[in-house]
Amino acid sequence: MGLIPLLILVGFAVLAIIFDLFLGRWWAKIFSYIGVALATGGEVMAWSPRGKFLSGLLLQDPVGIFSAALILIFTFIVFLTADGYDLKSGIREGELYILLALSTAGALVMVTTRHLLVAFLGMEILSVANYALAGLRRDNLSREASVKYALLGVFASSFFVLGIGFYYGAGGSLFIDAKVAANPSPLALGAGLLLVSALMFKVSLFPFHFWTPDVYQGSPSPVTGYFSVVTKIAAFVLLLRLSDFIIRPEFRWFLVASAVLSMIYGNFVALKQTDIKRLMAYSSISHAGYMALALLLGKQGGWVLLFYLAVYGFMNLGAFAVISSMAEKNSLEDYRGLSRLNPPLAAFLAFFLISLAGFPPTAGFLGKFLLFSEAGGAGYWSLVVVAVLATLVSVYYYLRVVLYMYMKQGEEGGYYFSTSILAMFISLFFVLELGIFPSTILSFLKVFVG
Amino acid sequence: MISALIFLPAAAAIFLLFVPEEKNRFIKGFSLIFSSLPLFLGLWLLARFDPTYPLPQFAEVARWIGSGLFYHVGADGISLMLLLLTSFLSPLAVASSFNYIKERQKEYYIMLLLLQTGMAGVFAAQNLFLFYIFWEAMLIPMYFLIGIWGGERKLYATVKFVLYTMVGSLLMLVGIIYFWKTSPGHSLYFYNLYSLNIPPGTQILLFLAFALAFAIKVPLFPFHTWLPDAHTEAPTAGSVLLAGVLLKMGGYGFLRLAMPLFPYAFRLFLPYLVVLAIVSIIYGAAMAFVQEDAKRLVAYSSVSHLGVVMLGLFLLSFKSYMGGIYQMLNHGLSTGALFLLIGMLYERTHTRDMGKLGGLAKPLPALAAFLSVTVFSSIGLPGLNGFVGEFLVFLGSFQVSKTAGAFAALGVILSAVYLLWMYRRVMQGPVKNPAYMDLPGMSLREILIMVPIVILFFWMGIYPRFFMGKFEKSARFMMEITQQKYKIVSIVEQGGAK
Repeated sequence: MGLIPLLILVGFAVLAIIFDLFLGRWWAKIFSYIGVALATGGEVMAWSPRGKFLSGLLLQDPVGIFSAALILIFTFIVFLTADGYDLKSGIREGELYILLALSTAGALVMVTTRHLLVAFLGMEILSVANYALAGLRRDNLSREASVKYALLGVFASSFFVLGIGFYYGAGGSLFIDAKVAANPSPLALGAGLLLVSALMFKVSLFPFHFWTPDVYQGSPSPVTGYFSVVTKIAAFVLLLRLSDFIIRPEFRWFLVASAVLSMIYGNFVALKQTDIKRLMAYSSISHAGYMALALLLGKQGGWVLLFYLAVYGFMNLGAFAVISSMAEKNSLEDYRGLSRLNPPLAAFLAFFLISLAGFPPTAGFLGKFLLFSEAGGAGYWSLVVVAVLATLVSVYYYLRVVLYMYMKQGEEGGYYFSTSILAMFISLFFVLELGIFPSTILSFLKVFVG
Repeated sequence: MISALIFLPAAAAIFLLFVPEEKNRFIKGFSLIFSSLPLFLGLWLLARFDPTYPLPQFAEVARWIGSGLFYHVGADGISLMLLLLTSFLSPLAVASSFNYIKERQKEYYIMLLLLQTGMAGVFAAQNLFLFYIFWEAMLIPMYFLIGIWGGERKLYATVKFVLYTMVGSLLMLVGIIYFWKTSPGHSLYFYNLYSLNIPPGTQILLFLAFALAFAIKVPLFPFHTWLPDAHTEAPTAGSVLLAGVLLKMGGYGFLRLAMPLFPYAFRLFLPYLVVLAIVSIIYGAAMAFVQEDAKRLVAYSSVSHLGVVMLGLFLLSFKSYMGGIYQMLNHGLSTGALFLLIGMLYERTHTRDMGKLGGLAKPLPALAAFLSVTVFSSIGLPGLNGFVGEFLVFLGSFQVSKTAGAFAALGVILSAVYLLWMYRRVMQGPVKNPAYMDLPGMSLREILIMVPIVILFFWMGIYPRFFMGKFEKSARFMMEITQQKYKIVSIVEQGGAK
């Protein structure tokens, strides 16, 4: 039962490739949509029976199922966003959808395994598809993004492989379990350092964030949204499974420093950005910093990490649905007076940015509140103060975009909007739902994850 | 019922989202109706309110997020009066904007209605979490109100306003998280928190976080610099609500949270707070004195008046405490009215520079009459509301400390000087600009806005018992919570009674 969602997704992606080749891109799109929708259903059905299969290589546990379902829903929103994306920029639609579906398959593998080699496999499926996705726009920025992402990504992958080697050396097994993580030998410590560093690259935590702004800026906007959300979830879930390493005392300071620097660096550098995708890139670095707080709590931080990932995913994808509608006009100047030119678009973006800044009653606030509370409850009060002050900085740049849209005069006309209103509505719904009526999902997470 | 009072305006705002922008008249009427409905609900609550019971009444509790994060609203006497003030000023603010706002009207009224929900929520919330949610949520509509419909330096003013408020409130959030994590059963209900025993070191940190948030909002010197900009640049309705209601949240926060939750730290910092309040009184008055812009003058006068309020609250003698609360209501009305009148003047003359105005009593006799009553109310002329509050504060402060009382009285003298001077420069003397002779007089709408306020000036001045009786018990209760734990009052009184 547990393999079915994955098989559906990959099966329909293969069908999409074939039909795209012979019958046109429409089919690729349709098959990708169906694949993701059916896989989401399959993931829900996989709730019972849960457990291990393929001799333990894959497993369906609450963390895995919840994050897999999230990943599929987010991919669906990205599909809808891509639907409204300006196709004049030379993107072949079929490829976009097929690559997204394959990359999602990789993400599903990553979140539903406790075996490091299988995790590596999933990570590579995800990454290779991502490298191609980054370059889809076929202009120089996009090419640069693709090459940069690939080169640095391969670097991170090699870390991961080396880490796997160390891990085997330390424990004689490739299954993630607490015993190796507690092993005092330098080999185990090295394994942890390498594995975690590789994943920190994927979630763009300081000091492994350098690729983020360029890749985010160069990639097509819907794809950027996808990178900022789905890749992050997959890697964060894997980090959560490795959290026994992270809570080792020798190791903890490394993540503390990384979280603090991500929050400070991301937020302060975002202040000076004039390109909205670069701004969102730095914002995503800082959000990774917030989420790293949850990792410090070990397995107890699981529920709040997943909740924050869900919240972050919906608000960020909502924002990217609007950014994608702007046909790659990404300078803040292009957003001047948007509230007059296209009121709904501006209102949506303002809403999602306000949520990202953490104002109640949006989910962004509740996510931050719970995340900071858990960190504070575990005694990291000084980190909470840093996080809160970093949030203050972020308010300035998020509201600056709102200021451009609402409080500055724009020029009339000359704009081309291709909107996917549905993606925005779904994101809006969930941002409000998770912010105002979160009790169902929170109790679910607490019972099964936390 | 209280929930309806809070959320009706927000519901109306959501409905307005789907109304086409061209239907201006409908939008205006609809907003006016839905911003005044809470007033009727509030009066109905007032009729059913039991003034002999000090704790919150009309409580509405619902499970919400879990682990102590409840939805819990209610109102004791103090909250009820402030809720009424909010519900009274909001429809006036809506009505005052009908001619003033010509662009993007739909968005404007949506923001005003959302703001009303946020303000009412702050006063009605009975647990820290809900309090914080409304406290923060209210910033967003204000951000838009100042930023879109404000004056020349609106962008600067609105960003400054949001960032200043956020500095304080985010640190307060850390304090709230601390309470949530440490209080038994994760309860954040105010009256449960009062009985917590917080270690002194922690109290100091938490008090600093809470006090900073509220001191910025009040604003106490030296945290006031956002206020003149925000008040001056905001559209009239924005200034009215800023001065009339938002500033009260600072005082309310002190009396409901910062003072009773951390008695030890409050006692420790009391001398500094008193000094800050006195400096605010003098500094605000001095700054008001040198302003050329009438609106900026009123903005600085708020700093000065709120200094009196805070002095009354801090000194914790029953008279000064009652006076402080009463003065919050008075200041909301009189400064709100001042901003309304200056807005009406500005709509006619398109300047607030007092050097260019003058002699306007001739073309605008009604406006001049209203302005004079309002100025007198703000100065504290006996028979009007301001007198009652200020007198109580002086009486109370003299009991505690003669020096503090003397400084508070000085503030009143100064306020008489600058406000009367403003009145003279605007209304009396020769008409400076001949074009002003043809200014249109007050319309019926404008008169209808001002009349209820003036009635309240007199009512609250002549028969204060009616209002004070409602919140007397609650005020005494809150004050005793603040005093009892460490017997603050005895120490302060001994220090001051020499």
